[in-house]
Amino acid sequence: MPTPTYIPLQTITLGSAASSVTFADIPQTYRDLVLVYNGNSSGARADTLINFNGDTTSGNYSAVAMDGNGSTTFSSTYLSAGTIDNVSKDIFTIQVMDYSATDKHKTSIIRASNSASIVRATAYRWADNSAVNSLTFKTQARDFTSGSTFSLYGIEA
Amino acid sequence: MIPLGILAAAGGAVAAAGSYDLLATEILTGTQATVTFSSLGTYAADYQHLQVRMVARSNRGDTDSYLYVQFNGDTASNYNHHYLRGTGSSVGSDVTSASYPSGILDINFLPAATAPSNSFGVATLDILDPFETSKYTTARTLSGQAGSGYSRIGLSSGAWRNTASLTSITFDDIFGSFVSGSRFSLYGLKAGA
Repeated sequence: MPTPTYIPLQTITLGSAASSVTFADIPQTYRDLVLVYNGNSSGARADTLINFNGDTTSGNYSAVAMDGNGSTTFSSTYLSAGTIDNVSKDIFTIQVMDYSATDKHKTSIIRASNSASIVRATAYRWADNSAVNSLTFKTQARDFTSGSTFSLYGIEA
Repeated sequence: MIPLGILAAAGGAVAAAGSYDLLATEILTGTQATVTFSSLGTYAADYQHLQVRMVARSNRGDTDSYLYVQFNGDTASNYNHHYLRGTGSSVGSDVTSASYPSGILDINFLPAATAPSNSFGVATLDILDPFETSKYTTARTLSGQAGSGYSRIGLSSGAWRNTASLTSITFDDIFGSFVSGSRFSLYGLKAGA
């Protein structure tokens, strides 16, 4: 029996600049999460850092990215101190797969872009079997600007 | 809101509640070489596109394995496939139909036995117009795995050179078997009025 899903859980629209955004108490009734971001950060281009469950432990995150900037392609890995060095461009969509499962690390895939400079795809892994109950987004020493939106959806399986 | 740019979960826009349905899920409780969704014709009247969301790992004795996607049980050389892949140090692109002709291939997705414990690869597979009989069935994936020693992020697309309406999808770990905890979920995106 088909089950309607892709359920909107919460949208955060910033009324003023903010250094971080957190989705807390994420319900465990879905299998995947999708986060859609459309916004900007103050100052020069900044990367977005993502924490699961408030975990800032160095070495618990790893990521691999693939980029095109209009003239060349490049790929790099990120092992930041307790965070994932995702891109904070104009838009990104994150698929957090099996976020409520407790038998595996949490691997996600991202599509991100800044129309002025780059298009990127990223895979990242949080090396923890815990279910994800919160997501925190930060930018590197900058703020998300007013009007930035973060929308979270749940997908059943 | 009808999805913009086909399937939202592949990284585009967002589907509206009521337009995106869970149709079936397989969560493995033991090793299994293949996973098949069958009798898909029952969805033809209601859905325009399909999506599969996958979380998987292989028992192959290596860092990674390869995944075939086969339609209607066809294992002949009726597929095209190409990919764009980032390894952490370089970006490459290739056509793989010559070496692996028997399915649409994803080579960025399946960590295997020597990959870090509990690490799984993930992918979204969009299958466009699978029930239309005037065109080949075309698919695309966004897939990846991240971890020490072996990381991949990839975009790929492929076509099954057959105009038949889709009746089954088979996922084949061609060098090993999917391990327990691997998950394959099938979704349908409804057609507009």
